[in-house]
Amino acid sequence: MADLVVIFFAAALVNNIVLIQFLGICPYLGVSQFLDSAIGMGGAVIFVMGMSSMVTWVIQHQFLERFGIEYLQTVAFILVIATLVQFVEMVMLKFSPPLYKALGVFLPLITTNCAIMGVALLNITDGYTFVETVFHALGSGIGFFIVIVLFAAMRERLDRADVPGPMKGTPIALVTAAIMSLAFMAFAGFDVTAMLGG
Amino acid sequence: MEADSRREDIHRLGAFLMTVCLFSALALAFTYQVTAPRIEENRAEMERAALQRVIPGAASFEETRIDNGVAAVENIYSGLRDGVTVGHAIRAVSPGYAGDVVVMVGIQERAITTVEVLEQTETPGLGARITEADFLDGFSGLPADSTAVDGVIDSIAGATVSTDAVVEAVGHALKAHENMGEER
Amino acid sequence: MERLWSDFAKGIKIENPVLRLVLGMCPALAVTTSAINGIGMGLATTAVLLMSNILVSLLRNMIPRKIRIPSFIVIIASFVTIVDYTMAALVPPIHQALGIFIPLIVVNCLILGRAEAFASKNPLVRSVADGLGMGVGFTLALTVLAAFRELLGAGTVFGVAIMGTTYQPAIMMILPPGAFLGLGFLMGAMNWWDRRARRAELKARKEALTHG
Repeated sequence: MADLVVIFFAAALVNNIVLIQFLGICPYLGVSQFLDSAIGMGGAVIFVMGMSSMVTWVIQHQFLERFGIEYLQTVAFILVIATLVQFVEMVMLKFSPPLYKALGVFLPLITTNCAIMGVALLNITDGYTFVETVFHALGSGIGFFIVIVLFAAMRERLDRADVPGPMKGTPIALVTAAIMSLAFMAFAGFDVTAMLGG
Repeated sequence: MEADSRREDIHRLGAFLMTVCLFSALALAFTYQVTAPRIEENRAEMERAALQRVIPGAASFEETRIDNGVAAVENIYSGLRDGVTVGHAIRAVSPGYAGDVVVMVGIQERAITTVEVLEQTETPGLGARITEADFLDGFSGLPADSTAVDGVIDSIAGATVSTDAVVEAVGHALKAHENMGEER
Repeated sequence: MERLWSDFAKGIKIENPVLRLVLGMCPALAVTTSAINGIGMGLATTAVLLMSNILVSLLRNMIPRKIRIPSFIVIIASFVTIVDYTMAALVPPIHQALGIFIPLIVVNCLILGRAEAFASKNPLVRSVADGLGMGVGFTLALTVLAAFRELLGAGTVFGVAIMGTTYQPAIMMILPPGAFLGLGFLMGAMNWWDRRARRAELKARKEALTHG
């Protein structure tokens, strides 16, 4: 159990997917203009990341490895993620229109969100078991949610700041991200096992 | 009528996508066939080069499967020359600042030959300096008993945790070497 | 000929994928800890981009509109895997340093973007020029950023010591915050240069966009 907690916190904070691992930068910069859309995107990522990690893990271990065709990994994973996103969109529209209204518009953007594919690949390269994969994916998704929401809150204020002309927009957003990343680096060396008394 | 044509459309599109996937699978299978031996060769070559550096006197290597009772020790290799064991290479791991630090320790004639850091994800410029020769040379020549490394290695400034990880991993390797006892 | 040149050249400055279109940010930030990694990633991406542009352009009249995106994704993913295995076989150290960012070329919006916006609508030769231009622009941006970070963070460029022995490296520059900081200031510098050099650039860009 302690192991799972460590994996979760490591994914959410220590190795934060956006600020330390540089996955999912596009939505982080692109969908963080407004707090509402950042919350929606964050929620959609947690959801799809959890689902796609489970499915790709099963595909890798039950299918690709069994038949010795690991070289189809990239093709298989991206197709699975693309299909899954479509499927989730359809199911949401049919069974939960309010949820679709909140997250739906972000779903198509998620197919090319490298955080989803990146976490799916990391689950495999880091040799996680199925349960560990679930915790790793949820931790990563929640880590994404935390930073995109914090970042959006900052950017809403940044808009009103008097920034030198050439630094307006993306450049100053990147510098802000640098400071956030610096803050998150303090989580490295943070000993979760010791905190749990293990 | 419209439903019919739509179904036909779906079949046609599905067939097209299947064809694309089929070609893709064929191309990848071919690429894999061509590159796989080379990739395996590279991996084996890198492992061999690391072994050769830690047991310079050996001509060939084989993995020994002796239960050494140390969990942090992953593999033990024997270096052979003319059928006689001339030294051992022990792969051990210890948690560092940012992740596991994996080292390979060479032992020849009851002394450490060299220590190599095989894998690490420590902070570049600080903890990652454990891979520098200046630091690793401190281990060379120490006697191969499990207390030999205690307190004799100077910490890298600003990277005590990373330094300790290497010292601890080497300690594990030496312990395993002791435990092998007469069997070696 | 002139049009071919403009197809090629736009990717380098006016529509630079990283500095202008803000595409392919993940690899631009993640692998640019040393100049050699920047070049490696840039070339790998260029290879995939070029091959996918060629194939998409050749098949542009055969691929049914409705399933063009899944078809493009399969094509791109296949080329990515080919490049991945080829690099593992020929340049193992760079392959190892770039890690999962090689398979992740598949989700680099730049490649799908060029397949959709350019190669699926234009003939082979122009698509090649476009792919090469975008690839070179991407490689240049990554290499400049990586060299800048390596210089400040380790005092070297391409592993060659530049700053002299008394230089205390600003380690932060090769850590994650340095990536954001470096790219932010690089973009800022590009904007500044742009503004100052030619106000008329604005007009030219508008023209290039409508013709491109």
